Amino acid sequence: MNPEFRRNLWLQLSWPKLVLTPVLIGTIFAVIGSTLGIPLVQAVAGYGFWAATILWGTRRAADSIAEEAAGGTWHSQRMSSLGAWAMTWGKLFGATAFPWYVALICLAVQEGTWSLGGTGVCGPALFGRVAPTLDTAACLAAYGRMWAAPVWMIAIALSAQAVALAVVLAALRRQPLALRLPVTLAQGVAILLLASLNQIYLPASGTGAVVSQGLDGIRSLVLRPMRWYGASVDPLLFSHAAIALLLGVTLFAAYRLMRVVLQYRSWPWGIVAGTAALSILVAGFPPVFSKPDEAWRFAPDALLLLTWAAVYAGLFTDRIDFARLPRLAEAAMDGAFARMLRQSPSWLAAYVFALGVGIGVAVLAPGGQEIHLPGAPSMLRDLRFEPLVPAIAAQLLYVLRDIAIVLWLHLLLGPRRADLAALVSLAVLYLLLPFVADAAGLGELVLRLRTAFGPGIAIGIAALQAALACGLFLLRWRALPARPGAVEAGPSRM
Amino acid sequence: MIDVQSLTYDYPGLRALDGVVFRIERASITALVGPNGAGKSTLLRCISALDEPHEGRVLIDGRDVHDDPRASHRLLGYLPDTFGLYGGLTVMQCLRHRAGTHGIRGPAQAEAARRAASLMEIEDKLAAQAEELSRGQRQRVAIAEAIIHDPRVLLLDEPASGLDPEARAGLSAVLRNLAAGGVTILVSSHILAELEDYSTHLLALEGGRVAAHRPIHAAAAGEDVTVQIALAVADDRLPAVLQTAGADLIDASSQAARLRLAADPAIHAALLRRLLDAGMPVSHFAVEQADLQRLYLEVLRDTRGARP
Repeated sequence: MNPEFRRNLWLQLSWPKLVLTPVLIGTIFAVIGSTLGIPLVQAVAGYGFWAATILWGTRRAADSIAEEAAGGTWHSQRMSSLGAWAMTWGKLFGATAFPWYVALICLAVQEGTWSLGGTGVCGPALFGRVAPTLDTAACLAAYGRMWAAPVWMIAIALSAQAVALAVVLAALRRQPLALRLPVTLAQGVAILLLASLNQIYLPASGTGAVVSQGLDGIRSLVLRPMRWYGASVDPLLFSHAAIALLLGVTLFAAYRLMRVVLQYRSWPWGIVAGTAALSILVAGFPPVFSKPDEAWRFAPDALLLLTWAAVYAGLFTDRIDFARLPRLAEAAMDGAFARMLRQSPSWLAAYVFALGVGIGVAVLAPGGQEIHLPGAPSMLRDLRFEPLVPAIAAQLLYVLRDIAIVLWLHLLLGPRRADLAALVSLAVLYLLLPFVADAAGLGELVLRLRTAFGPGIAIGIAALQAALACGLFLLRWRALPARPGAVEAGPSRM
Repeated sequence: MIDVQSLTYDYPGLRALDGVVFRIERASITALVGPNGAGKSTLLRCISALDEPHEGRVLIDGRDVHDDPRASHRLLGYLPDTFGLYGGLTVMQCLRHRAGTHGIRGPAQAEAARRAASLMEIEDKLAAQAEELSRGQRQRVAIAEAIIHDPRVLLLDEPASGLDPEARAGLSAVLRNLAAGGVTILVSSHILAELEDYSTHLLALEGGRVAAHRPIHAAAAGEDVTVQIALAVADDRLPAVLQTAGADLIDASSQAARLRLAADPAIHAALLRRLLDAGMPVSHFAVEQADLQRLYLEVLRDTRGARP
């Protein structure tokens, strides 16, 4: 047995717990059922499942790392020979074993009450009771489509827990000495994820429709196809595929982060593949007013935006390790690109990928695009986009500027204060300064410059800002004392 | 066995290790000493591949530990200065878990756990919960975890802190046994008297640099040794006899003397014969044992004196 899983079972489960928990939960549901009715049992069991897996399970998943870091056992785990995948699933399933035990009991109660006359989707119709408002055949069809609901509920919960584990692993790598806040953050992210998925999954499965709109709701939602890349897709099939993809991506993310903290050397293809997969998924949903067969036109934009987003995600989650930068430069100068890539922080790998994507898009679609959107409001009906090359180049330079600002702030303030300062700086740059500049009349100046020098002026402005930010970073880097006078020294516990 | 080459490690604004170079032979026990902030713990983390240095390499049996840290961990046992145990588990479960994470499977896990417990003399605690143990017992469990997979290199950061005198003596015996079995040990500690008990070499760090790396015992270092002589009855001829024998006197009286001699036992035997032949009632003739405290302070003084 996986030793990490077994260790967690030793800590989480005991015979008294295993025996008493179902007795206690069963008693509670029996009381609710006998006094308030079966439908309420079903509802409480459903909420019980989500509470156990999302509120409690995500906390346990996140704590599986935070407790080790706080308890001083993480060094030993890092010194072990256990593989990254074994460590990942050992923690993910082991640390959450008890919440899952409770959740599965709740799920069994919820499913079991179908046969006891729960109102659910088709309970009355399925078991021959009088249900004048429901059509038995339609209900059977709908229920047939939903048979796998518990499987997908489990998949969603597991995804949320994997997200919680991944967030804390990223935090551990980023700032190993302060993990309480990331644990809460991880839980928050997981809950948000659940809320988002429920918005997609429940309407698609028909459950929400039945509760709120009865049979017509089922018909309207189950029968109405979704459009993805202009093609008609069964909504339930799509939601299942999306959840399966999400489960795969979140488990993969947790595994990759575990590899990083356990010091495996990895090629940075994870962030590249993840960004590309997400781009493909998102690009299939073009703006609502576009024609279905024009979805592909938006794919490059989605890819560009997501690659840029990946740089920022890496910049705010990966460890800013200045020790590694000279090694990377050395590897680059030696021509050892394989070594360089395997040691690259994720934000650098993402930036290199973004550069590649930018160049690719600029080469494939260099000119301005014209898109006609008949369904859009009149002012948006005939869009003419600017030539892409200057815009892409300028945006890549702005991303470079932001990287330099974040690194500079890390050198200046140390890791604990740098993140907040970086967020504030970026908010000022992107949210406040444009208004101030516009109010000061700089917008008009830019337009004049643009008229005089063409769209390339955007590159010049971005390059100037990037050069300033890089200059600040390099000045600070060179000014680092090589002897005592620490900015933020301390042992690594990652 | 452990070959450290030009190791440099920086924290932002602080160079913790500065071009550290040394080589440790197999089956030796090296005392890693130095003032607070000298870089001892950072050095141990770099050797154990937990932290990656900015420059330089750490080779164990010729293999760079940072090329494949996880593979290196199979060869290494490491006890950090702040360690933890899983308080809710029994000692047996803690040890079986650690054995499992090192790839030991099946019945061999329990065997490895018992063997490690036996080495650390905690067999009677195997059924106890880790959280119920005293500080010293917890320390022993942690060391047992570090050695459970029979590492070839053992790195210990302050292993004796929290141990009572009896337990420290036991730890000395354990480390000597491990070294006799071929394990190379590097021990960081501030308790020099304890290190003196079992260490064969001294590695002193000062300001992130190696201040000294040498065998603790003068004989092993090829240096002269200090010999102590005492007479049962005072004899005024003692200094003169020793001088005519060609000894390098450090101090001498009519009843006792300290002198420098080559580390050759034959020379010692010849001097003793000469004293006895002169009719002196020699009651004590012994090579002075290494005084790690003195050696360490000398090293620090020399290092700081040599610094501009």
